[in-house]
Amino acid sequence: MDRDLVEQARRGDQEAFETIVRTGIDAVYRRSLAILGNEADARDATQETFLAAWRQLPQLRDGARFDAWLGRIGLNAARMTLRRRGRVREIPAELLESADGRPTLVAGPSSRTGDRTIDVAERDALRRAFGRLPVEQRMLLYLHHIEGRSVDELATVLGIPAGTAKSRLHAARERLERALEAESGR
Amino acid sequence: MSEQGAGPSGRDPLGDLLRAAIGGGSAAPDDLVETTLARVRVERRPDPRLRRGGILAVAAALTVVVAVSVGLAFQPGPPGTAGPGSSPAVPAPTAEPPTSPPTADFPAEILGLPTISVARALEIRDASPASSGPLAVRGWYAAAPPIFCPYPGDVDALERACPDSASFLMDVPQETVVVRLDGFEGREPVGAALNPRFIGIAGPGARTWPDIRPLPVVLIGHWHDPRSMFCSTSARAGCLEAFVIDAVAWADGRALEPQVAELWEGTPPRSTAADVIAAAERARPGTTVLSLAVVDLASTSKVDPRLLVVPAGDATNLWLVRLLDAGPQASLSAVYLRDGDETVEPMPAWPIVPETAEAIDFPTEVEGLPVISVQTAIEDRAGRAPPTDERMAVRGWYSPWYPVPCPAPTVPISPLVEHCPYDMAALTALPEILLENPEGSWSWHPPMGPSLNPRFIDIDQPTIGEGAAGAVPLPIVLVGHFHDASAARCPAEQRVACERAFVVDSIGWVGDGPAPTASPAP
Repeated sequence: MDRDLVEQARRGDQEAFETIVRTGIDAVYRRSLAILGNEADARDATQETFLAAWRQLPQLRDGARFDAWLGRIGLNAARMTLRRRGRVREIPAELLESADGRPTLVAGPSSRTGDRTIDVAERDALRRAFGRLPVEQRMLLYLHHIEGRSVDELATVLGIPAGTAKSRLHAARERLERALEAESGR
Repeated sequence: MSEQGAGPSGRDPLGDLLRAAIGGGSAAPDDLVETTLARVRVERRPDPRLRRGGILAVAAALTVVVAVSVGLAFQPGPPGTAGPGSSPAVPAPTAEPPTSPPTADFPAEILGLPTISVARALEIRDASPASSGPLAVRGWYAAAPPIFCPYPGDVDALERACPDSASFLMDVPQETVVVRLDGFEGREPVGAALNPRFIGIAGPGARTWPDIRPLPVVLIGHWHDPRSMFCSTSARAGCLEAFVIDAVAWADGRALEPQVAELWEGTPPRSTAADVIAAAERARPGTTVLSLAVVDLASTSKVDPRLLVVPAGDATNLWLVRLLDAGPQASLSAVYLRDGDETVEPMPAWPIVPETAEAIDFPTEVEGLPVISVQTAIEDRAGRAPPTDERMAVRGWYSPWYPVPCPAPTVPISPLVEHCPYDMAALTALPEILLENPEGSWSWHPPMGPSLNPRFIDIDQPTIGEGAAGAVPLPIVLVGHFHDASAARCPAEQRVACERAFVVDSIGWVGDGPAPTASPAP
């Protein structure tokens, strides 16, 4: 990212930051979509990434590290998006059979939990295996194998030593391999 | 495989496979660009001073870790007045008051409340079986030294007494820790003392380890906290006797501003404490803000379980504001705000008054098994070694799952694991209403108190008949087991969750039950 733009945005220039958003949003969205696996979560994580970046930008001391810094914020946003799943859930009214103005359970054989897993099993094996990995491992594999980032760049994004990044990347590959084997054996 | 990252050149087979499987070419939708920009345009940058509390909290946590790692040991003194789980295994020596005790010019009144001694606060606790309302207690505060707190299990925050069980508010100034070359030792305080419980609130931070001198403070707090109803049976009495702090009102000679406990990870708060205080004071004129907590959505139960059930909207953090109405009948209340939004909302009611729940005449035995509570079942799951799939009959209140649309999971999920929509089903210890329709649209929220997510693998879940009002939970006894044999076939990542699942074998008993009544929000 252009260092002048980053510096202007750091000082509070919103137009400069808008240029940063327009330039960088595709990459952030692609990464979020790959890691989170669905569009709604990817949209949330992308927005949160840029909002957090705008808020925290004054704390960034070295504008040259903006891309790695934004990557780390994106990783945290993905984690938070996953955490937010499962809270309060809206229920469309048509899914509830109304009785006296109050909801009534729709029960019957289809309520058995086992039926649900049949749909799930049709997913592509590698996608399933990838989805089994912790968020950080998905991020490592994505950055390295899809974005083509070097180990040094991974280390910068994650804020860890290069040696650690290398070993974690290795561990992520091994875990993906094991997950793939498990998927193939299903 | 190159360590430089092969990129989309085809030289990296794994990269090619991943790109094909999980994508890598999608551009952000046009409306996402505009939506993001619109949010940025109205976004204010936060007050950098708000970060200080978080940094201090991390530093304090590191202090604990360092102290533990060098092998320090601590035996907390018996609190005498203590909260749950605070009794020491070995009686500790008694502290001796210093021959020239420090003195303090405590205020006679603070925020409209008269200050009272610790001894008087204990008298009030023992005299009243119900809530005493807010008390401003003056005394000498000895902070807990850096001790190791074991994982308490699946219990409410009020039951997690460590490390508060090693801190004291005392009428007599004294040091409750003796520092030695090889560590330190706890001492039982002399005179009236209690263990203040700081749940989702910052403690008096004026002195930090190893400064063990007691600090003169006035703490505003209350006995008989409503969340006692969520404590396990064995811990209930201790929970009721916990002195739960609402504010550190005065310390070391000066009145304090409302403290902010920062309990968030990830996205920093957008609102400032000043914004939140101003909004609360506008919405609740005549009340005084005692303290605030800003908490991320994953951590709400650390502060107040009622925050679990509030609609968060787009907010990633919530603010809890504790308020004091110091009128003739002084009372405490709380409100919440979604971060970035100045709308002040009342806290939801607690699920029910315990007496109503206990009025249900559950059977004591079903299918030859003693009927146990949800809390006991959870304790049994945590404490039984080796784990077994022994059947148990658990009484509680059943709320069904509903056929709602769920995002398709990216991984195969065992039927034993909690997942949408089956994780909506709950056997709760108290009759909590999980499906609500406050403003014309139905919504479901997770339980506040102890609960199991029963798994109906081979049988249908209980049907709530027409007219029985599906939102009202059903008193029930479910016969089932943990550690189902099929857990062994779960993927490694899901194994623990599978083993913890309560698999229902039969529905042992179903009652009619009265409609639960919500208790007034404290």
